[in-house]
Amino acid sequence: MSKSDSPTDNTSTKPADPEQRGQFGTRIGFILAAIGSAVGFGSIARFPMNAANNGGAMFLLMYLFIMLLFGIPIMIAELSMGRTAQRNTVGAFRVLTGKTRPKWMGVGFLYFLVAAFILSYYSILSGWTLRYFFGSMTGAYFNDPDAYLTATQEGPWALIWHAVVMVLTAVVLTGTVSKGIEKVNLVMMPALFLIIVGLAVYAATLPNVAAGYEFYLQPDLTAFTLPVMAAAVGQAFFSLSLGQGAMMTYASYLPKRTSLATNASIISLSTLCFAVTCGFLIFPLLSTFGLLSGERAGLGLIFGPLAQAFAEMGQPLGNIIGALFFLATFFASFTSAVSLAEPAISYAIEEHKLDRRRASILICALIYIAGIAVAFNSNLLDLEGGALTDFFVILGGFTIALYVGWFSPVAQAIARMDEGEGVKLGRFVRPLMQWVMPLVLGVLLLFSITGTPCFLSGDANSVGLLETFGAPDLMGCEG
Amino acid sequence: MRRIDTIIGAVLVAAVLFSALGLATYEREAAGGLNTYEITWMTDSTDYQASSTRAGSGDINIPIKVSQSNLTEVQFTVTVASSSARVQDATVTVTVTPPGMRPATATKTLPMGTGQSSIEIPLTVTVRAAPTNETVESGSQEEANATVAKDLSSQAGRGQWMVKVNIQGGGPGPVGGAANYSANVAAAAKSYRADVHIRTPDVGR
Repeated sequence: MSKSDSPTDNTSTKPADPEQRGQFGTRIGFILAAIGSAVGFGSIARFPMNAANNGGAMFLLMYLFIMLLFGIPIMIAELSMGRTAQRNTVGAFRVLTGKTRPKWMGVGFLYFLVAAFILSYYSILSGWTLRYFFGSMTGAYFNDPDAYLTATQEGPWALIWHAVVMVLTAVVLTGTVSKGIEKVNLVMMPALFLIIVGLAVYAATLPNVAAGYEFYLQPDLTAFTLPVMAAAVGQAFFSLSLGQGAMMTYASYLPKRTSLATNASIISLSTLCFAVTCGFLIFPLLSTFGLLSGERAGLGLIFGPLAQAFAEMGQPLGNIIGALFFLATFFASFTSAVSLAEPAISYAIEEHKLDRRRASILICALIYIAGIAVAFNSNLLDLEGGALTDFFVILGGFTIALYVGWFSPVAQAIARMDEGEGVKLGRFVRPLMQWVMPLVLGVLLLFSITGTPCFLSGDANSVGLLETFGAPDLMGCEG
Repeated sequence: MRRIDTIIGAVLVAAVLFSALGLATYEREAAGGLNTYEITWMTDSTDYQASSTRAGSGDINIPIKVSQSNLTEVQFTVTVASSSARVQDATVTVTVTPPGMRPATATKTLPMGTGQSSIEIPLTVTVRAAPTNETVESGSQEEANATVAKDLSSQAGRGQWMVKVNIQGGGPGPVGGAANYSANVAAAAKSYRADVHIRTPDVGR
């Protein structure tokens, strides 16, 4: 059994030497990078619309509760695995199990492959925001937002901007952890927050916005239904970038003295605050231009009614506001993209002894190739961005809960989570990982395959993996 | 050169080649600009024979292939012609079924006494995404019927559509005899709104 702590010793069961491997230079750098990983399109438009459609302020309270009970604990669990191992997701299981070829290594492969798979289509979506940023500055979509969207979402433009995003991702990740990942997040995340808060304040000054706030926040106690709670649990899990190797990899660059409980809490609550703030921007804006509707969420909201709202503002106001909004959206998606590429790059560096520059170019080029089909056929987003991603991400989270709750010795698991400064929550988190999370995530995993039963999905149409590949709708929700 | 540099070079070349392949084979919008469709007819019409001496009914099935996705509205005009100018009282129902969606129907009755030999039945099929399982609104005569997309898929509309023309009755008329019916279907895209087809990758990122 190797005793080496070299980062590129691919048989080692020891954590790598952080001096050789690279670390985050500051605590705030890690926190912003982790928030950057978590915050994305879902935070900007999906979460606020979910809140608006499912009870308003009551949904926010319920979501906060679910975040505290589920989100933060599982984040602590995933961070603890990465921070202890100080290695890529595959090498991490060698360190955690003490074996040179543990069975759990397969799970390590799953994490970075899932992250790379998500990035293959996510970078295309990020490219859309970049095109819209420039399109806002020139007013290119103001006359015909629909035609502009058509040209953007698939075809040559989608490919070009996909390439741009992947090149930028490779450039960032060519740098060391502190000079690459940390630096880009230290710049983009504060800028993102400033823009969103600034736009939210501006939106408050517009006429006829009361309906927007009411639409967003009006409490509705009748919304406390099983479908809404199920959706909130799923949303909380997905919104924290868990089960994809990103958080584990970022945590592997953390010093051992860091408090995981404090960091996880800051990351989770900041992500939630950001998402809530986005609602204060989006709904007043839509309300002013009479574009308020509960039908569109996520990307459909961003590139549909919101783009229309910027077009209605006219020039130059629409140029400025639209450009700022899409710049912020790009920052949110790009920082997520960086976090999705890093697990695979870390694997290539440590397991195959590549230098960071070569690993970044190779991995980003491979991910670019994987996304080409989606750039020319946006219909593939339904498959890749829907059922497949749901399944793999939940599977990733399920394995984390299983490992920490059942396959890791109790004392070790708790010690990993409690190591470092700050509050010690290991003895509370571990039972959650043992009894609650496997059950919750196991059920979500099943539903990601079969589709959600009608009594849980309510009016929402939920398509599972089987139905996506042509099986009949097992849940029989259709009328 | 190191082996890894060779591999990286090969991957970069592959990236360029696949990009070029995608650009070369990407289906272009039909001539005429963004707001046109390409609808391929697999068959123009079939003849159906029905006797006017007894109540008869039958279907003329016209499969059509729509090669463009992201449809929001397609207007069908079905012309049913009879070989006999004196066939009366036939009820013609046109049903259009887009792929994976509920059908839309329109019904018209050949009027009595006019000896009309053909009848035109316009039917507007609106394809739209809906967040809930709405019931299909059915109309009659020339009313447009709404067809609700099964889900928010951007596949809405792509694939094989079926236009079914059902002819019921048609006699006995004052002169009797057999009557042949034929149906022609024409379709045109009315509008193309991009906001229907975006489906959010639902991962909450």
